[in-house]
Amino acid sequence: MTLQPRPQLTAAVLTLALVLAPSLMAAQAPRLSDAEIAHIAVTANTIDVNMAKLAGSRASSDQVRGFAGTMITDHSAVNAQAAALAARLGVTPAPNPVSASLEASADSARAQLQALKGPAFDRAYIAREVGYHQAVLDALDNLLIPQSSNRELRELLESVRPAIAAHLEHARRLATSLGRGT
Amino acid sequence: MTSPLRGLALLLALPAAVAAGRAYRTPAPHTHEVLIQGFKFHPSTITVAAGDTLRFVNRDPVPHTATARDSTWDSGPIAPGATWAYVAPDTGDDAFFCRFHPVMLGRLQVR
Repeated sequence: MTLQPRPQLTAAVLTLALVLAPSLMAAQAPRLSDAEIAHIAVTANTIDVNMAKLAGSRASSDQVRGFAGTMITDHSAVNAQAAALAARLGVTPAPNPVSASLEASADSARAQLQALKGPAFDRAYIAREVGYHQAVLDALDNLLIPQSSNRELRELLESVRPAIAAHLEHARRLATSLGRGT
Repeated sequence: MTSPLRGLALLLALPAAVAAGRAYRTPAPHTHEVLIQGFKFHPSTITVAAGDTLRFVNRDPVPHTATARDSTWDSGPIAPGATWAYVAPDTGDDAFFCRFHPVMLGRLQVR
């Protein structure tokens, strides 16, 4: 029996967990400290770097490998910025249920992807990246940026937003071309 | 000044006058700055004269490129904070993009 890839479902669960409606988020969203927000940001970046490394070794399409390379470069650069800011502010990133949920979802997605190869891997990886970047973008807008207290942390998150949006659009276009077989 | 000497003076001054006239009609090349920020080229459409310089400045925290769609010119990776200069050689209309982030698009018109 062929294992059906369900990274989109994993990403959808993540999206549901992190996004919801803004008003509902306000009522039920966890109240996060800057240390916890920093940990979520670093975790989110690290997850995508590691997933991209997997794609770099398994993807069959040059375009997908190129995308994965960009993910490694960009998310590593953002993590370096976040680490430097945390050090300057004397903030130690604090583990929390949101970052734990991100890691758990990533572990599940990774297990599903590792069972795939060839074009099936490419399509599943890019589909997962679409869902993941949409979830991260929504989390930035609805949770991380609004709840960050430190101005520099908020400015860093706001400066990262265009990168996430560009990655999302890039992944969407790749998903379309992979779906067409081009 | 006697007439022959006046004529000689005019003859000697003629090339300089012609050169000055040519210099007046041909403007000096300009440098145009294209800012790369927020994963966009600013401006995204730029019109320059042949011989002008485009100076791409990367203000983002990640590397970008400025690459002609027809591959006739390519900056290679422009690191965060770095610049890359390109002299537009001929008239034409080039679409360009970032190879790392192909959603970033620009258009160079050379007149």
